[in-house]
Order: sequence, then structure tokens, then C-alpha cells
Amino acid sequence: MKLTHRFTALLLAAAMGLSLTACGSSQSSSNAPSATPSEQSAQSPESSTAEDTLAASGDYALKSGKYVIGLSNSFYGNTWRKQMVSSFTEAAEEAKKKGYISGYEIQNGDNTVNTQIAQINSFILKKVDAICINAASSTALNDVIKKAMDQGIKIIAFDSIIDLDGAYTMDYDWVSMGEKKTQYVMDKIGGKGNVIVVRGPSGAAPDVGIYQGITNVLKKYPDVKIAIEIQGQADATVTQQGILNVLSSLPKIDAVITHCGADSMGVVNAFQSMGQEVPLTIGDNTAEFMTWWNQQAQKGYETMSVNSTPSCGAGALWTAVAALNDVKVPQKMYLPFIYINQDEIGQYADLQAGTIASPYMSYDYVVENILKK
Amino acid sequence: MDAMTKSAEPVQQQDTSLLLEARHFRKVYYPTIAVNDITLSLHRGDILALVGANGAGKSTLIKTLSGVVRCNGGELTFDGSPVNLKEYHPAAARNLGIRVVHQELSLCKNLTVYENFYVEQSQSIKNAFGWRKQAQEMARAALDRVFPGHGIDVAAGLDSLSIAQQQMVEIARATSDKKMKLMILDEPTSSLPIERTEQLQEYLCKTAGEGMTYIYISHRLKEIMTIANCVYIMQNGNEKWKGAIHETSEEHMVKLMGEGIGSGSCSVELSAFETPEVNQNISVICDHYTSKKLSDLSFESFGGQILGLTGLEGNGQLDLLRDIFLKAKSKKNGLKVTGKVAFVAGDRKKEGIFPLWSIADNQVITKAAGSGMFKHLSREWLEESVHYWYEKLHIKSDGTKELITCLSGGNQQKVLIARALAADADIILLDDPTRGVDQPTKNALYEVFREAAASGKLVIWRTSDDAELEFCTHLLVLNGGHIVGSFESASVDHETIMGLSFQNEEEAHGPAEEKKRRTAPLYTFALIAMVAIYAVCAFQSPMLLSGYGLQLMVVGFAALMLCALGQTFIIGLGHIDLGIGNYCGLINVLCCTLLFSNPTLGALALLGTLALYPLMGYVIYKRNVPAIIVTLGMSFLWTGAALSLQAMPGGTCPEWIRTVFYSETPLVNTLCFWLAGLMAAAILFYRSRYGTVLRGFGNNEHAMINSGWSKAKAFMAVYALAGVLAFMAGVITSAINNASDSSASGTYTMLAVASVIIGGGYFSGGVVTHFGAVCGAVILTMISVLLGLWSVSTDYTALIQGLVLILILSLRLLKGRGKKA
Amino acid sequence: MKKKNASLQEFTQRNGSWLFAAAGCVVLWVLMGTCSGNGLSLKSLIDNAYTASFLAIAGLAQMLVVTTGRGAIDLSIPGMITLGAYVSMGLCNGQNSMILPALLAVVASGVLVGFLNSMMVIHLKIPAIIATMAMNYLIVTVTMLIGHNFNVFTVPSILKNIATFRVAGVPVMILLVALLALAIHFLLTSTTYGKGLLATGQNLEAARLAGVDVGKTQILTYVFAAVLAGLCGALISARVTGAYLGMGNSYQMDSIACIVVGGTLMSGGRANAAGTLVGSLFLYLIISCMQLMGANAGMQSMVKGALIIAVLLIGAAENSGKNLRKKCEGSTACEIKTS
Repeated sequence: MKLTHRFTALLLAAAMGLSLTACGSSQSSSNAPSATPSEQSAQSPESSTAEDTLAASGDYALKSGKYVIGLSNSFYGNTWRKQMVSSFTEAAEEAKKKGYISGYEIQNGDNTVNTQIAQINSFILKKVDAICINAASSTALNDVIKKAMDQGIKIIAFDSIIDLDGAYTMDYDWVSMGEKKTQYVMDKIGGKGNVIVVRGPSGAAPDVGIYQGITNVLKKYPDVKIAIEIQGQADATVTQQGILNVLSSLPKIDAVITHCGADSMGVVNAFQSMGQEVPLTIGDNTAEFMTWWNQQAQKGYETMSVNSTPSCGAGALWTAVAALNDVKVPQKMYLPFIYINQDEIGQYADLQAGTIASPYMSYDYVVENILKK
Repeated sequence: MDAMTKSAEPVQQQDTSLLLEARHFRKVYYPTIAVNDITLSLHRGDILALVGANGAGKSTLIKTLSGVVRCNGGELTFDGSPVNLKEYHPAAARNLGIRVVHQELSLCKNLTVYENFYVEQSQSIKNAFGWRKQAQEMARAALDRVFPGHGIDVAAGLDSLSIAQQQMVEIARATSDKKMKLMILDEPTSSLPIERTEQLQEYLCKTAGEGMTYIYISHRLKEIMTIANCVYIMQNGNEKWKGAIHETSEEHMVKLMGEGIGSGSCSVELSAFETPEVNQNISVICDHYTSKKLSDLSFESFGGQILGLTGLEGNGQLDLLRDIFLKAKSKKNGLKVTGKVAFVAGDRKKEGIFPLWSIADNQVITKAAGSGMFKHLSREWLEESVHYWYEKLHIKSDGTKELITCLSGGNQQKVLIARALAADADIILLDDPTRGVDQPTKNALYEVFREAAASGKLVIWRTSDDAELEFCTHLLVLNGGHIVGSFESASVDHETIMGLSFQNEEEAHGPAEEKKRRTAPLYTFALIAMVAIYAVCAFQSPMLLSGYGLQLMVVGFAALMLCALGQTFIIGLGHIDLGIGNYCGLINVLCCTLLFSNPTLGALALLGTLALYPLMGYVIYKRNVPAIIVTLGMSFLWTGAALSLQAMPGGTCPEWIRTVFYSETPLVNTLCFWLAGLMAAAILFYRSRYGTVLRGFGNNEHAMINSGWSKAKAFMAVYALAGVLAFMAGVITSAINNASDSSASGTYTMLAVASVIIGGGYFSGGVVTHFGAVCGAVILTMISVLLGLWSVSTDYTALIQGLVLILILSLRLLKGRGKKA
Repeated sequence: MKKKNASLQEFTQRNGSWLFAAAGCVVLWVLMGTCSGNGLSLKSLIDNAYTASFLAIAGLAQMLVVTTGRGAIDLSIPGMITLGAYVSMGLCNGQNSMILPALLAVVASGVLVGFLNSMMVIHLKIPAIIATMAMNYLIVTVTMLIGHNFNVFTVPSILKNIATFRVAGVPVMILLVALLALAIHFLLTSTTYGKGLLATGQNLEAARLAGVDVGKTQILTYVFAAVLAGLCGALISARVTGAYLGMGNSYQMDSIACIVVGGTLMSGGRANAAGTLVGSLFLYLIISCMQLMGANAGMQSMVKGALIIAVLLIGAAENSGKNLRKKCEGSTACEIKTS
């Protein structure tokens, strides 16, 4: 009996030790994930070693600094987020190399408020200089973020932003994106029929905004019914699972309005695996969807595709660096979407698997497209 | 009964009027007549010794007298008035003034000595404040009265006392009942050393002289000769002899108990039994075998023999049987078993039958268990075996497919025996197999045993019916874990056996009073760990030592702390609440949605859900369903309700809640006051009078019920307390976050359990502390902070927390505390 | 004749719960057909059964653990499902040749997890719920580690076929799961292990004294459950072409609900494999119905929770009422103690 006890205790200790060492290894991976897809998916490839002319001098000059920047990412579980973190890391490495910052730290959460509060707490305790936040909730973090700002930490909320005075926000115009794609669908299906609406990570600003845009347009088309709303979590597999669960009890679907966070292939796979024809589906700029679209286009399939830009991670980092250097950074900034029309699909036929079409955001790009607007 | 004279002691004039008269008491446990036409009178001041061998009927008689068991016939007059036996139950008996001190201690091990006094005698301790002092005085007085110089600290936890001391407490407690007129003591000195026994005897004699009456059951004939003034001997449910003490002696009593066994009660129709040849291939050999309850046993038995284990019950016979079965495979300590062993349990319901199964399934399990794990057991093979033994033992039922619970006790016993026989075992261990079985069946079974022996098997038979010893080829008489007599069947002399069984050892049966070390408070380890982990964190980030840093942390563990406090109450009862975190989440959502938009409706909803908690407790009590599953089901309900109200995180917290619970004051945040206050309230409540009762329920439910406390109320109270604390956790979460997230609080459930355990609590036994739970909650929260400070991803937090819990539990076990976690 | 009637009555009594559920399935199917305007379609029933078959595997795994008695529940099944999905996807990487090693890896991880679970329950004496809950956290974290590094997008064709192929319109999965249930039924009724498991669940001490190797039985049970859960995850990932963290989470509550509806006793000692299949179909039909009616995730959760509690309470009432009646007069099964 004693032997089994010791054995069990040993096994448990080994498990603990293993996970702690794995902690160590994945720490580096969370700091610098192996794949760097953002490089290859560059649309207008401005290589990272190009001269950052704007940083040298002038209004947007950057100086050497010993800043530490933290990334508090609420959720790491889908392609979009992975790409975002990669781009942040890449930009951070570049900034570090050039001496603008002395270090950075990335914390990924499980989409709950509690975890993110813990992350921000730990950043406060470590006295970082700026925190880039992709928030799990637009309101629930306000208290802890205020505490951070009280300590003089600069806050840059991006993608899923928060609503707090004093924090910089980098937002997408979710509402207009929702309206645009829904209008496209309405035009295509002639204003009547059944649609599936795929939602994104619940509670975050993107889903709230996009859904607002979708309903704004749908209100004008009473003959269009939402057959069902799927919680897709901006992930293809989750979306696929969700649709598969209910497809057999649904009426004929005329179109699927996706969240466009990387969920479109899930829709495609779901219909295909049930042996049904894929209805009109809004694409999400992923490599997989673009490949599929290019094939389907030959059979006459038409749609549009849109997504936010995962490389906004890099955008956030550069904004943080700028803010720390007292560069003129507007409180509210806007990030661009990438819309792809039917006639542009050829340009995106060869994206690297597992990535989303997204331009590389160097410091110059950020200044030109985000800070100055 | 003639008027009796008292033994030696000079006494004052006292009242010797008739106190109790039981006429023609009869109790039948079909087919046995446990108490047959017993008529018994007691006068005030009597100390009546109730004596008899195993199965004499003493316990049953006592149970009928004290209302535990309804008797089938008879009349009872107590203190001049007749008693309505049709509505006679323990509470009524206590009201009359009859109290029993049982063999199994009815104390709560997790309470202190004086708290045990309180829960039983709460009617005499009325003050809300100062009740502890009162109880302590009562306890001290009682112990001093009966056992002067006892050296027991009444504020000591009961589990730190030795068995002897616990028994002293039990006895002393009974004597504090002022209403008591008759006390029945069932083997009170079984664990007491000599000095204490003598003190008890002095006390009994003294108080008898003052008018108290006693019935004293004991096997220690010497004691009886000293204490009692009259004796009542029972045999097989009948009165064997009664008289004054001076009319008898130890030898006389032994002789009386030994005669008449075996003649007439058992049928002699059985064929003459030729002792079979000894089968050397099958054997049980003990060579100075010693274990916890047995000392230095040496004997040899072989196939072909029927070895009877006798002596007074509880002297090691059952332990020997179990050891032979359980340790058959391991060859250590001097016990060597050669051959396949099968066991027939005596306590059918507890360790014998499988209630959901049919007769056939019950019968065949041992045979099936003997094959390889995944071997196909063909239907024919099993049924053949079932039918053979079914017929052979004449099991009465509607067929082998009938549920075993439909059978009478005797037939169930037959099935158990068939089980052992069907398994083709070489050694058959019988634990009192004919208990509750009618005579014809008994005869059939004796034939079966003999046949088994004749076929070369070894039958080891523990019997409580001395008449059955006739059927054994060899006998071992056990007393106090030793073999005091070993016979071959030819020389079975009941008187000698009786004498050996009743023989008293000179040394105290119980060990000398060892006082166990006073252990440190439960929460010590957690407290040290908490300070340590906080220090490590502070080392990494000195900000934590400032007020600002402290507040940052408090905000982090506020909700978990409250959930842990709630869970403490529930674990203290021996249950686990798997929905406490989800409930906290629901309250969080309600506050930030319904309460914010529609205060009245919100308040109603909040109170409504709070009312569900004690209701849950009531349902668990009433339906006797496992709490763990009910709370698991409720957790889905809580989460579902929260999700329905609010599909995605958001909402706003009403301003007044924020002001009350989470606003800055010149000193500290109001949050700190609330947390400290709630923790203090929980601790204080658990230390209050009713809180002590609740703690008692967590340890020894039966004792509490017998003392008159309501189990339903206790369950509802515990769950209500937990509900309130989880409720506060939800409210405070709303105040802190100013928003709600239905899924955020789910992890608090397991974390709360972990907090309680890390804080020194146990899953059963009512051994928990609130302060420890708070320390545990802080430790778990600091783990995530520490991970953050070391730049380890927050993903690992849950894992580390789970591992810490498991580590603590493993360490506890390795430390060999022996308690169930 | 009387005997035949008696045994039929006994059959319905014993299996009452899931026969009722089977009837419920028919009712729900009809209801769904009329509500959705699609009419009664066998295809929709089969499609639901198809999705339910994945749940059935998880349910069978849970059934085994619950049958060990004393309120044991395996809360590590969701984690194992996700882990199985990640391991099989990650190791296969789309290649058929890697299927066998990948599945072996899934089985191996299941064996390890099950073994550790049983060790905690048997030797550390931790209540099964707590032990498996902690183990679940361990598995989830390990899976997260794997997830960081693997590309989990392509399914090897053979695996995909098993998960999605249809024979005459009936998915292979349904047949597979039916066979699995049959195998488990056989295991429970005609092997030493099965009988030992049922005995252990009814009364651990009695089983020990009756010669059952209770330790080995429990270890095997936890191992089977974990392995089944892992393989279930591998199949699910083949169907949905990928794996994501938390994909097993819904199976936690659903597996308990479907075995409760299917007639397995939560207190242990009685398992019903066929009932579990019916229970899983019933549960999925309810979910589909609720989704058609527009009930959100929260409502669905509430309905499932209420279902579990309702069946539990009804079961408890049945057990106490019926058994009291069945006891013979003057049964001495419990009272006699020697004096």
C-alpha cells in the first residue's frame, strides 16, 4: 500500500514538474510564437527592415527608452487571435531591437473577466509602462483599468475596446461593417428568405457592434427571417459544430451572415458534410476561405468577404510606443477593415494556410493610417 | 420478587418503592423469539445486573424497555403509572426518566467535551451568553461526581481523549440528566481501566443509596458481584434465574448459563456425524499471529474439520474471520492460509446482499468473481450452479429471478451461504450464519456444513448460539483477543466454555489513560502557508505591502472568500455544494440586470433564489438523495438562469450597491469591512449554540437526532447559511466589477472546496474551520498572482490550484492520520 | 402464463425510465416535424441520432464510472474529449498513415488519465467528483499547451469516413455506437468484470467480502471511461474538421443527463447501456426542439438541470416506496443484533 502511495505522489509531482517546465517553454512561445504568418500574408509587403523614416525625427519621432509594454489578450483560442498576438510579438521584437522598448510581456486569458483582471493586476504589480488590452468585456474591467491609470500606466484598448475616459481606444466601425455585409446579402437574396446569423465571442465590442449593424438592416426587410443564431466564437470549428447540431431541424437556408472573425469555413464545412449545397456565405478573408472561394467562383459562386485585421496587434504596440514617447496620439482611433470583392479574389489565392489577409503594420503604416486620421 | 436487602453499604432511610414493573414482555424477530415472557420488577435503589450469554436477549429487552423497539406484547408500569407501549418511543422513555448508556458511544468527536454535554442537555442551558461557562461547569461537575480526579479538560476536543476517557464522558453525561430515575448501562466498563471502574461502582452504589435505580449489563461477573444487589439471568430469551446477589456467586451464574444448552432446543434428528478425515491440502495455520485486536494466536486447522469460534461477542472472533479472508493471499505475521477462501457475512444488509439484484445474481457473484476478469460467463454455467444450490438449500421464493429483497431474512441467509458453496471454495468462513433463521432451515444448514467438511473442506464457524457448538469438530474460545480454550468436539462442556468466556483478565481491559497530544488548531498550516506565499509575492513586488497593493489583492479574493465561507458550512455537514459558484454568478447577473432596471422585481427575484437554498437542503433531507448530485443539477439551473437573463457579459451595478459595498473611506474600502464582518459573523455563528448543534450533525447524526434535534431544520439552516454567503459573494462581485458575467464565477465552486480543504477541513466528520477556509482562499488567489509575477501564463492557474489541492490531500494521507479525507 | 406476465411487468418496472424516454423521443420527433413545417422526416430523426451518437459515447463512459457507486461522477470526460481531439488531429496531421499511432496515443493518454483518477479515488480516498474535477484542470492545461503548437486543420480521410460516412443513408457512427453499447452490455452482464462492477456499485464492502477485486474493477472502469472519452473526441474532431479548446464542455452536463434519463442509477450498481443510447437521443431531440423554439443557451441549460433533478427525485421516490412494499413481513434483514 505504501508503495502505491509513494508511486502516486511521485506521479503527481512529476505531472506538476512537467507542467511547470512546460510553463517555461510555452512562456517563450507565448512571448514569441513559432509561426510568424503575418510576414507572409503581407499584402503590401513592407519589410520590417525598411527605413522607418517617420521614427527618426519630427512630430512622430521615437527615442530610445526603457519601457516595458504588456499585452492583455482576453482570449487566445482562435486563428484571428493567434495571428494578432504574433503580429504584436513581431512588432515588439522590432521595437526592442531598435531600442525603443526594453521588454514586453504577453498574457493570454480564457475569455473571462476574472482572468483578465488578474492579468492587469499583475501588470500593475510589475509596474509596466503601458498595457495594450483586447478586452473580454467592455465594462467589467473599468475598475482595474482605472487603478492602472492611477499608477500612470498608459492604456491602449484595441479591437474589443473599453469605454473609459483616459484610455486610448483603437476601434473598428463594427456597426457599419455589419450593415454593409447584411445589405449585400439582402440585395443578393432579393429581400426575403431564411438566414443564419453567426455571432462572435459574446460580450465583446465587435459582436455587439456587428450585431447592431445586422439588425439595423434586417429591420427594413420583414420578409427575411433569422432561422437561428449560432455562437461561433469567431472560430471555424465551433461554428461548424454549432451548425451541425441544428441543421437537420432548420428550414432551407438562403444565406449565412457570418461574424467574419474566421468562422466562414465552418459554415462551408457544415453544409458540405451534411451533403447540402453551401448557401450564400459572407467570407472572412482566411486563406482557407479564399482558396475555396476561388474554386467555387469557377462554378459561378458569388459572395463578398470582410474581416478586421489581426495585425492590429502590431498596430497597438506601435501606438503604445508612440504614446509613451509623448507623440500626439488621438484618444479615439479607427482601424481599417479589409473588404474583398468578387473581382479581387485572384489576388488572395495564395495566402499561407492558417492566416487571415492582413497588412503588416509597421510604425510608418500606423502613423499614416491610424494616428494621423 | 421478594424484597431485597442491599449489599454491605450503610445507608440512610430511603425509598424502596416499586419503580418499574414489566410483565410478560415479548418480542419476536421472526422466527426467533428474542424476548419470551419476561417479567421483571425494579425497586428504587436497586442495581439489577442483567446477565446472559450471546443471544440471551439482553439487548433486545433493554431496547423494549427504553422504547427503541416496539415489543409484541406485555405491560409496563413505571413509577406508579402504566405506560402506553403502543406509543412508546425513546423520547417518551426519556421523559419518564429512563436513560440508556449504550455500548456504541453517542458522542460527537468533533466537539469538545462540554459541547457534547450541551447538545444533549440543551434544555438545562438556556442562556444565550455565557452558555459555554454553564456547560463547562455542568461537564466538570458531572465528571467530578462520577470520576473524581479524572484529569479531563472539559474544553478539550473529544478526539484528543482516549477511548476510556470518552467512555467516562459518555457515562458522566448521562448522569447530568436531572429528570433521570432509571439508568441502564450496557457494558459501561468495557474500555475503562480498573481505577475508573471502581469509581463508577462507588458512584452507582452511592446514588442507588439515594434512590437512583440502575440496570447494569455486563459480562464481568466479578464486577456484578461487587455492584449489584439483584441479578437477572437470561438464556435464549427466557428468564433463567432471578434473585438477590447473596443468593448467587460467580460459579453459580456460570453454571446456570451453561446448563440446558444443546438439549431440546436443537433437533437431534440429524444423522450421526463421523469425523471426516483430515485433508492436509487445505489449512489455516496461525503461528503467534498478532494484529490490532488479536494477540498471539496459535492454532492449526485443516480441511475436513468444522472449527467453531466462540466466546463472548466482540472478543476477536469476527476479526479473526476477516483477517483470514482479507489476508489470505499475503503470508505475513504468522497467518498462513492454504486454499481458496469464501466468506459468508453475518450482517446481511450491511455487508452481504446486493439489494438491486435477483437471487440468482446474488448467488453467483463469488463464483463469477473467481474467473478471469474478462472471461465470458455463459448463462448455462451460471444457472446450473444457481439451480443446484437453490434446490439443495430449499430456498423459498417464486423463482431465482426474484429480487433478493423479497425474501425473508432466513432465506436471504441461505442465498449468502449458497454463494460461498457455489464458488467451490476450500475454506468457508461463516460469520454467525444462522442468525434470524428458523429451526428447520438451521438443521438444513448444519447438514450442509457437515457435508462440506465431509468433502474435505475446512469450515470455520463463528456462532453466537452456544447450542451450535455441538456441530463443530473443534472449538476455539476467544476472550480479549486471546485463545483461552481449545477443544475437540468430544469434550464440549458448556459450563467450562461459559467459564472461559466470562473469565476476567486481571489487567485492565482498556489501556491506561493516555492523553493524546493537544493538536494545533486546524488552520495552522494554512495560516503559515498564506503568510509565506504573500511574503514571496511581496518580495517580487513590494507594492503588495502597501495599502494600495493589499486592497488590490482583497478585491481579487473577495468573492472566493465568501464562497469558501459558505462552502465551509456545507462541507461541515458532510456534503459538497457543486453549484455555489454558479449561484454567485446568478446573483451577480441579477444585480446588474434585473435589479438595476426594475428594483422591486429584482429584489423579489433575488430573495426568491435565496429561498431556494434552504429548500434544496430540505429536499436533500426528505428524499435522501445525494447532495452532490442535487447541487450539480442546481448548478445547471443557476447557470442557465443567468445565461437566459444575460447572454453576454455586461449590465450595470446599481449605484447604491457600489456605495454600500465598494466605496473608499478615509481608512480602507468599505469592502474590507464587509469581508471582515461576514467572516466574523460566520465564525461566531458556528461557535454559537445552534452552530455547535450543526457541527454535531456533521459528525454524528444519530446522536443528535436522539438528543431531540431536528435533522430537517439542521439541513435547512446549513444550506440557508451557505446561500446567504454565496449571495453576498454575488453582490460584492457586482459592486467590484460594476458589471456581470454569468460564467465568471463558475470556477469558484471547486476553488471554494479547495479552500476549505487547504484550510484544514475534512470532507466528513464535521471538522472544518472558517478561518482556515479564508486562508485557503487567499492562498489560491495568491497562486495566480505569483504566477503572474513570475510571468507564467495565467492559463496555468487552474491547474496549479487543482494540484495544490491534491497535494494537500496526499500529504495528509501519507502522514498517516488514517482519517477518511 | 403468470410468469410471463410477471417478467414483462418486471421488465417494464426496471426499465421504466428509458422506455418512457423512448416514447418521449417519438413525441418530440413528431412535434419537431410539425413545428418546423418540414413534416415527419426520417432523415431528421436519423440526423439527430447521428449527432446524438457522439454524446452516447460520452454517456457510456460516464455510465461506467457512475456505476462504481457512492456518488461517483467523472468530471474529466470533457477534458479527455478535447485532449483526444487535439492529440489525434495533431499527430495525424491529415495523413492516413498516422491514424494508427495517433489513436494509440489517444488510448495511451486515456489509460494514464484513468489510472491516475482511480489512484486518487482508491488510495488517496478523494471523492471521485473532486478528483476528476482536478484532473480535468490538468488535462485542460495540457491540451492548451498542445494547442499552442499544433496545426489542427486537416483530417485524414479514413477517420473522416468513419465519422461521416453513410450506408444507405444511415451514418456509420450510429452503427458503431450501437455496437459499442452492445459490447458494454455484454461486458456488464456476462463477464466477471461487469458483475464485479455492478456489485461494487451496490455495496462496496459486500463486494469485497464476496471475493470481487474491487480495486482492479475500479481501475479498469476509470480507464475505460477515459479511453472512450478520448476516442469520442477523436471522432468528433474528425467530423468537425478541427479541434478547439472547450469542445468537450457541453458533454459534461449532457452525459450525466442522458444516463439519468436512460435509467442508470446515480448511486451506482445499475447500468443501462441501451437506455443511455435512448437517453442521448432524447436529450438531443430536446435540445433541437429548444433551438427551434428559439430558446437560448441559458434556457437549454436550465431545462437540462431540471430534467436531471426531476428524474433523480422520481427515482428516489420509486426506490423508497417500492422497496418498502416488497420487504416481507417480519423480515429480519436488518434488525437482529445479538444481545
